[in-house]
Amino acid sequence: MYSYRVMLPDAVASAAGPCPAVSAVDVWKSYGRDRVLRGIGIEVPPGSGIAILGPNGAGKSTLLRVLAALLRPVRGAVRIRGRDPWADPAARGSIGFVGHEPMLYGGLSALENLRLFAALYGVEDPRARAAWACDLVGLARRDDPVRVLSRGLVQRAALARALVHRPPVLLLDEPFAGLDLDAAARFADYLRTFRSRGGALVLATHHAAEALRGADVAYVLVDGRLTGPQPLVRMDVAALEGWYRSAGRTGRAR
Amino acid sequence: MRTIALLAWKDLVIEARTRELMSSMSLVAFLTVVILGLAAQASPRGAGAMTPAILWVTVAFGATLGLARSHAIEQERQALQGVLLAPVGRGEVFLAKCLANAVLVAALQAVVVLATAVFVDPLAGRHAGAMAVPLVLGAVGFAAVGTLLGAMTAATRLREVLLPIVLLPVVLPVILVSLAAVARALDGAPFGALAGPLKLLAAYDLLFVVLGTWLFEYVVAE
Repeated sequence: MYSYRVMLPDAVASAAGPCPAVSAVDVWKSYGRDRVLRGIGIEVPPGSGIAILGPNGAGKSTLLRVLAALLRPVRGAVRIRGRDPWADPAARGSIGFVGHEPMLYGGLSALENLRLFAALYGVEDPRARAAWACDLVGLARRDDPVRVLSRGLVQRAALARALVHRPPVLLLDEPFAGLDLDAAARFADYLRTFRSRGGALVLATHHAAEALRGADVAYVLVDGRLTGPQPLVRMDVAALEGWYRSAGRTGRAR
Repeated sequence: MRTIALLAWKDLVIEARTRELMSSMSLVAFLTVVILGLAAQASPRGAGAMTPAILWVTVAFGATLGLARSHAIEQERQALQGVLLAPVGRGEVFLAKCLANAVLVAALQAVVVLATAVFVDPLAGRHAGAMAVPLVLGAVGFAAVGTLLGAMTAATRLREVLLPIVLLPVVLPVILVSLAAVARALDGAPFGALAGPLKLLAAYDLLFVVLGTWLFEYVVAE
């Protein structure tokens, strides 16, 4: 058994200023002639979480990669705590990102990967922080090479990578995928505490139940456009799924 | 500098554990040396005249194979994307990869010199010290171009085929100048006689390293 022990994100105190933790203004992204994002605009204040819902291929992953400065938008601007991550690479240090792939080296152990990434983020004691991140996500077999770990353990290692530098902004793309029930419940607890302490969260998922676990408002992404926001306070899975379907239809009808 | 050392260390540790690159590169190099050595024995001038060519042809093919695989490691599990998420300069990421690749190419050169000395021309062993500088400078230039072009072709389906096609023509000046210096070293020329080609080789290295550091950001941007 393990527990998620929440530590205050390193820079969260200054994140509570007037600017949003994450903002996107009129963001467009295309792959060739295929327009994936069309004029996206969102704002995530510190201490809040938004869920991006949408069917497979709606562009949720692309949106998160644009917010994480892994993809450059063809038009529009992204700001992380008021800073442009393309012009000011230090702004990337405020982001913890989980995508569909773990973004870890298979030939290194999970612990070595986390030490490497902690050092790249300028963490003072990478060794201690890597061990902390492993404990945080309950990562067993941390000394084994990542390439031999099971899907669930790799996902835990990916979560640990995103959290190892204690970022004030988390961009998570289907973070519960591959986690067992216990690990998923505990990670959801961690996300709630993370937000209550000033962290900002953007969660992409196509499961309404997962959106309710970490976010307080939801958007639906259909055909590259966002519909919402829909407050999630006192909303259950059935009600959210109903709104998701109707918002999806509205989005397509536009 | 710390970032460069960290990222290069990562490559070398992975290679030290898996020996994936060195074993495949060395095996290809060994077989190439033996085949070229046997072919050269048939020449009335003997294999000695062809030693510098055998050395560099073998290194070029073996190293190209290794560079393609070196970049595949970055693509697996999107590991490079994880590094690019961190607040580190793209130039530093390039320099680290280039340093690790240069070490691997230099290690391959050592294997090739040894194999050449045993199977083709004993002079290669006797003059190994004199050949070391032009070979290592050649390794740096080869790694600089290979790192940049390897990153460009790594995301393509035909990377194993595409890399040699784009790499070998671009890196040809480095190979030719290194080849000239190696030939002089094998002839027993004093180190001063190698100064001209070595200066030219150092200039090529500097040019390719600076160009790679500058262009890498555009290469890895999706």
